[in-house]
This record gives sequence, structure tokens and C-alpha cells, in this order.
Amino acid sequence: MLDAIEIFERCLQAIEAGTATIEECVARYPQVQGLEQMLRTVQSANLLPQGALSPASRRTLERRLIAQINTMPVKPVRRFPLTLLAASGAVAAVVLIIVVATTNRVAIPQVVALPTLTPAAVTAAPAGDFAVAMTLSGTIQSVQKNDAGGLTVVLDDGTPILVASSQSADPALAPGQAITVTANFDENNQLVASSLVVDTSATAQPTAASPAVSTTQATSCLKSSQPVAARLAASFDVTSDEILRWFCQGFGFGEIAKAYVLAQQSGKYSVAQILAMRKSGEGWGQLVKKAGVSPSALAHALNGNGSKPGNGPKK
Amino acid sequence: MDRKRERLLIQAAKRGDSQAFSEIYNAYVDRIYHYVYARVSVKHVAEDLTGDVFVRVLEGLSGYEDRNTPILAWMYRIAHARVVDYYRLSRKSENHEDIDAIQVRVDDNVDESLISAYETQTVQEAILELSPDQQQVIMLRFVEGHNLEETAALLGKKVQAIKSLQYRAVQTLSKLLQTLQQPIDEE
Repeated sequence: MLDAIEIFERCLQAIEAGTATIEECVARYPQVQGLEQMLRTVQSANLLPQGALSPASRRTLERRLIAQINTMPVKPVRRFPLTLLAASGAVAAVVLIIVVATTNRVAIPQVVALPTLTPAAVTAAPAGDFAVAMTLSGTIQSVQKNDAGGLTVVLDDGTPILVASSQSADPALAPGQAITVTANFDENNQLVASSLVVDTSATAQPTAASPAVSTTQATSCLKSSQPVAARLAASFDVTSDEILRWFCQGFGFGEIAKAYVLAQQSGKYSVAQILAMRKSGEGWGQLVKKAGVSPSALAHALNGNGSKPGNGPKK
Repeated sequence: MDRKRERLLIQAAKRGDSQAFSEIYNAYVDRIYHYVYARVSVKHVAEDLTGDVFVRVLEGLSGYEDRNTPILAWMYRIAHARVVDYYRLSRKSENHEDIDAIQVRVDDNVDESLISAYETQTVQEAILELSPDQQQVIMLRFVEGHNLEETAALLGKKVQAIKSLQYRAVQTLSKLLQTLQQPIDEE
């Protein structure tokens, strides 16, 4: 004898195949309580809206994802099985300490290069705020230990980037290496690397080392700010002077980047208006809301909208 | 897409191959959008959520393990979670207000399209009240049109378990719909 579960399935199949109606099924199996309601419920579910993605939306989403790929941290290539790696861990640690002590550089395995580059990306953050990450590429001009215990890497265009000690425990960063870095601005307007990739395919030659860059230099409205301003200017298709004017008025690079992204996205306020509101004490969450930009729209930002992949400053 | 090809693409995408990820995206984006749109029925929200699903896929790909189930199963799970999040965040404001507004208009002048919109919303809301597995079986079987075997593969269960799950899911959904539709039926 069939149980209710099996009867229900048979009815579904018969109705789908057009060999029975709901009424016929209910009449055939009067012993199953609520069968009619259940079959009508399935009918309601069948009537939920059917949507198809437009080709334009499909392309927009794809662009957004490709941009996301290019800003994602890339994990080091695993060269050994995990068990072997664990067994040799202690030995490797000792070797690493010796290498660091003798060369004053940090040894790391090289990671795979990213396929293409974008100058910037936007990620949503809690409370309506958002963060703008820059993806920069260039040749290392100098590597110095900084006060925070990490490294300050200066690219060939003079852009200083802080690399935390946890990251610098891996790569052997040295002048002449081509690298790609995804970085955010910290509260001191310093670019802080969130991921770093050494381009193994590049054959850049070492260039003359420049003096060490301290962690406070870039906070001043001086020449040392220009490389970062140039990077931002390229990202937003404006002049370096325009970026530097905001910077010299006391806005941080992170804030400036946010203002440009928000202005691009909203179309309602100019960069000047956004920064003025910011100056009057409004938070980024409030500004995002006021500009009428949805957090998800921010996530789309710069993907084919104002950014030109790979258009960073010329080396 | 066959499983062998899918595995190769996943491995390549894990290594940062954007072309491989594009292929995975193009293979499944329509299904995910279809799933999401059926649950939210607002075009731009469905597009945003679909984008979010693939961003999550991208972010989680390095830790993704192929447990002999299609990657689509994982994508559906992410899509389900995104839809639940969306309703959780918007529940307090617009969605319930929309339903209230529609009820008022039904009192004044019965309009078929509004009733249809109301019914759609009611079914969507009722589905949210089911357990995650029940929600998925309803969506996969009756909205996405997967057969029992496909649904079993996507949910990592046996066919017989899917039959039981769908029976309980439909039974519960049916009761929920009766409760939710009562005020309008009485009027």
C-alpha cells in the first residue's frame, strides 16, 4: 500500500505529465488528508516570477567579478603536501631566522601573478561606510624596515607602501622586483598593503635606492605625497593637482578616494560638496545614505565606471 | 557543463585564472538569477544579490572542496543565504509596508495584478518560514524544475529522503499559506 509521501510524488508526476488533474488525484486518493491543498501549494510555487538576466546586466556583473578577482589577495602556491610542510616547519623557521638576520631582508615564497590589474576597488564596510582599496604595480626601488616593525616598500614612482610584519614574514622583497600590491589608506594616509604579489615573470633591473621613507612623511602636504596623489588621479581620471589640493586642505587620501567614488556613484553631489559635508562632521554612512547610493551599488563602483584598468602612472 | 570540465575550471579559478571563473560564471549565472528573482521578484535586487552570490563564490573558492557534488549546489546555498539576509534586513521596513498597502487597496477595489503580487509575496514570505532544507527543496523542485535525482544530488541526499523532505515542506507551506491568506479570503 502506498504511503502519503509516495502518493504525493505520483500525483506531482501525473499532473506534470498532464495525465491527471488535481481534482482527479484527490478523488483517486481520498485517504491522504490535505492532498488538494498541498498540490495547489505546489501550483502556487510554480507561479513564482520567472526572471531572465538581461545581456547588459550579465556583462555588468561579469565586469564586477573580474575586477574583484584582480583585487583579491592571492595565496602562496603550495609546493609541498601539508604533512611534509608541517614536519619541516621547525627547520624552516630556524632557516628563516638565519636568513633574516644575515641579509636584513625577509624571505618568502613567490606567489602567482594576478592576470590583470585594476587601479582601485571598493568594498562595503559596516554601518554604511566603505573602503577604497588601490591596486598598484611597479618595481621596488627600496625596502626599509620601519618603526612599526614591518617594511616600507617604495615603488619606482616614489609611492611608499607599508607592509606589515605578518606579511613580510613571507616574501623576499628586494629592489628591482616587480610587485603588485592591493592596499588601503590608513588613518595617517599611508598605503598599507593587504596583499602583495611578486611578479616572477618580470625581469626588472634594480634601480638606485632612495632614502628610507618614514611613516609620517606622507601625511604632510609635501612632495612625498605626489606619487600617491598621482595614483589616485589616474584612478579617477583627474589631475594630480586636483587630488593634492584636497590633500593640502587636510583631507586624507582615503577620504578623497571615498568622495570620488561616492560622487561618481550618486551623480547628485560633487566631490567638493561631499568633502564639505564631511568637513562639517557628517559620517560616511550618512553621506552614502544622503547621496542615495545603495551599498550594493558601491560594490559595483569603478567597474567600468570612471576607472581604467591598468592605467596607473607610467613607470 | 560536465563534472570533469567543472573540476578543471574550479582548479584554474582557484589559481586566479579569471577566464576560468568567467566560464563558471557564464555557466551558472542564469540559474542563480532565476532562483533569486523567484524569491525577491525585484529586478535590481535580484541582480545585486546574484552579483553578491558570485562575489561570495569568488571569495570562498580557495577553500572550496569538491565533495562530489556540483558547484551549483554550493551556489544555491549561498543564494539562499543571500536571500534570507536580504529579507532579514528589509523586513522591518519596506516589505511589510508593501503588503499592508496592497491589502488596503484590495479592500477598495479588487485588482487582479495586485492580488497576484500579493499572492507572490505571500508565497515568498511563507517559504522563508520553512527550514533551510525545506526552502531549498521547494525552490529546486517546483521553481527551478530539477527532478528528484538532480535535487538529491544538489542537496547531497538520497532520492527517498528528498521525497520525504518535499512532502513535509509542501505540507508546512500549505498550512502557512492558509494562515497567511486567511484575512483576504474572509474579506
